[in-house]
Amino acid sequence: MSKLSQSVLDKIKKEQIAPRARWQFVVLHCAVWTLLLLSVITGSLAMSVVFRDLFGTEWEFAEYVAGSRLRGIIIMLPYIWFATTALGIFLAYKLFEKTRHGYRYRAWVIAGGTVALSGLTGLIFFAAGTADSFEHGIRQTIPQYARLREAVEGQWVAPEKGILVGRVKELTNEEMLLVDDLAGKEWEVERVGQALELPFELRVEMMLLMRGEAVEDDEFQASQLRPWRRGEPLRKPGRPGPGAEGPGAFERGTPPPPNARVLNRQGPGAFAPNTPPPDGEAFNREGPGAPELVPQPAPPMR
Amino acid sequence: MSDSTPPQSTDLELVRRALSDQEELLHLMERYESRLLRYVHRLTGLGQQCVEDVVQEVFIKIYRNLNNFDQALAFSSWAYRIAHNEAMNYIRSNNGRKTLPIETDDEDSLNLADILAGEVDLPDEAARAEQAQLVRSILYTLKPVYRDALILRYLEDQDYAAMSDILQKPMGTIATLLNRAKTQFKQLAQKNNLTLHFAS
Repeated sequence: MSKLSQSVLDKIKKEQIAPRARWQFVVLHCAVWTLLLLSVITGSLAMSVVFRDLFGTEWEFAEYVAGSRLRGIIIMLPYIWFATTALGIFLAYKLFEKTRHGYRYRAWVIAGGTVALSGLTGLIFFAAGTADSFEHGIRQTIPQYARLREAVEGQWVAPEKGILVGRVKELTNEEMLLVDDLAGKEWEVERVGQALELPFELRVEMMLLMRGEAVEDDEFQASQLRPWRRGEPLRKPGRPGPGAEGPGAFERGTPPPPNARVLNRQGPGAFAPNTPPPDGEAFNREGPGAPELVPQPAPPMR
Repeated sequence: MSDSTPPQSTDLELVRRALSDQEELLHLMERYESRLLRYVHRLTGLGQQCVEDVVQEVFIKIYRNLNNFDQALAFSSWAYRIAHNEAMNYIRSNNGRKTLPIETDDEDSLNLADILAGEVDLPDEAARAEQAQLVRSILYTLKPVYRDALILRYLEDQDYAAMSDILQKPMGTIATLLNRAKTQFKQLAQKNNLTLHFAS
């Protein structure tokens, strides 16, 4: 027995050193994989919000908000979610390196794999509409974030520049609708020109982007209408909207109560006020007494 | 205890025995002691006593972490990895402190030069000693990561897969690392009028 071996054994005995239990290592490896999974999910969710904002924003209208399209895009880009995506991917990358055999893969393979996985999962989340509920949850949890987003999105409430974004509160008739803008102000919106022929179904609670001009303090003449962020409901609580909760936060994705779906048309075949249409909430209905608004391909909104 | 252990026992068998009886660690230590002492000495350039202290800590860590031994690896790679980490920690914590070996390592240096170079002209004993000193100086001028790569490959005779497991880097990176280490070694050798022709 060498002197060194003997001194090691003596030290082990003297200090009562023992091998760490196997379960400790199992827990450690599981923790790394769990954190890795959480990082990928975080990155994916953040990426789904990025997709939602990129694909759901009417960038061609940005110039009306900010003066030029480029400036509008720079102002509106979801930087927080870019950063969160990058952070999630970076953490996933670093954690994969810490896994038992992570070192065997080259950096670009791990980085590419992490980006691809987060991107693919982010797309799935985006397609499934998870981005809305996730972002909604963040707004409710982090008031600072909610205020920041409201400040950015509030720029889309610029009636003096001919831009308005808001929630459809009521479809008064085939030309008129009531809208609550993102700041909570009620507008009576008149549809004119291209806005009378829509390639999508207009319904109560949907979010709309309107291009036109403010003719009165609370009246807006819209010549173009677009669904805003896929038209998902976004409510400003503090206002007595259906299902609204608490002041200061927006709510997305909550279906309105049936009596909120109104189409106050007059004349033969009109729905009675506050009576849901028989087949749901369709505005462009077919059959006797249907409104004259039939889906037609709309010319490009430029 | 040690006397009852058949010499042909595999490392894995010794690991399992050491887990149930600490005395059995002796066999693992006897099997790897000289290799790890030599490796740490080559890497750090420390004197005998310091090297023994480092290697003692290596064996303690091996023992503490026996349950974390990854059976997909060779035990030697795992032991070298722990020794590498411990030695690197030592180098980092003693940054700036001169770590050139006090005692001469002429054979090591010349072996490395012989291996790296196609031919090295060594006319007599004095020139041989001078050449060895020069090679050693160049080796210890290299960044530790390059020095480590050269030592593992050419002095410890580790293959790329083992080096990948020891240094915890992908094999492609190991190849790149070795190329850079050789290039840097060659450049420094040329600056010091030491002519080396590297084998591919």
